[in-house]
Amino acid sequence: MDETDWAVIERLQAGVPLCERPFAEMAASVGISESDFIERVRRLRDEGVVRRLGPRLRHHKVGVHGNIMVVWAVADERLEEVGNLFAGARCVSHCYVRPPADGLPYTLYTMVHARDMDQARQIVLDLSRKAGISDYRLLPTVRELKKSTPTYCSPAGD
Amino acid sequence: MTDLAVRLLELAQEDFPLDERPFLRLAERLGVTEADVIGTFADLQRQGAVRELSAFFDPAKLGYVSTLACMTVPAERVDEVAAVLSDIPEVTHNYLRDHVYNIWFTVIARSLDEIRGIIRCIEQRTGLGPIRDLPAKKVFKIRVLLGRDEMAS
Repeated sequence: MDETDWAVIERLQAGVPLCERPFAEMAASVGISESDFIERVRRLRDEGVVRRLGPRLRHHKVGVHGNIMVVWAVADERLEEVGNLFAGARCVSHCYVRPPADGLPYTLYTMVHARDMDQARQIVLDLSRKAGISDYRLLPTVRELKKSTPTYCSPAGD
Repeated sequence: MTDLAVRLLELAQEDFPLDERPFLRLAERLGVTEADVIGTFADLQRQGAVRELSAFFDPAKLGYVSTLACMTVPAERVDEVAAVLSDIPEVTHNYLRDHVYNIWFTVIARSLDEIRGIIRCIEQRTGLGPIRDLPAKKVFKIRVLLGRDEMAS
């Protein structure tokens, strides 16, 4: 990635403007052509640096009220199989392997989303039956204390 | 939300066109006008349903590392500890959860050393701990894709 790529990345983080030619507007602020800007975004996406473009939603405001973190105690030898099973479920947005810790015997961490908490609990029950994992725990959010979008900047800017 | 809003959000989460006229491309697929699409996004932003139209990055490919950490905080100190975490820009998410470890937060920084330093700093500033650091060993999925099944109208 060169410095112009970083300028594109920094500009994208400021949000895509709502106008007919948003890439032209963003390109102008970076000082490159519209086609160069689009080409760079496309390359960054192909390289996996940009996962995708799209709207950042506020779950509750779009009516998604059942958002639960669920942690599962899965034996090492079953992590691959169960991880792939959970990852394949549409309502699971995050599925990570994390190390167990004192008081936390869990190895698979997931986020489940549904219209409401009842539906989310039902989904978790279904996942648990499908995977045959009975040692798990629901950790619903009691209160959101902070939610911000990380800011990524060029190491050259430090 | 209107039916158009739900269809637009489904489509835009799935595939936001990298095209000179992205809103026109979305409009063509939805059978509406470009102005309808731009207007619907503007409404959704005004209502707060859409925080912004933006890009989602792979932090690792930008040279960043992240972790999930948790700690036990007495109920009467939750607000005070939350304020400490809110002051640290590298802490991006923080949630109160019903568990012995009741505060769960994410840290993103340029190196593991930097993350360890931030965690030590939180322990020192709050006098609480030990903070459990739970870095992902493997990612099976990270993809928030919400559709009409999840969105109540």
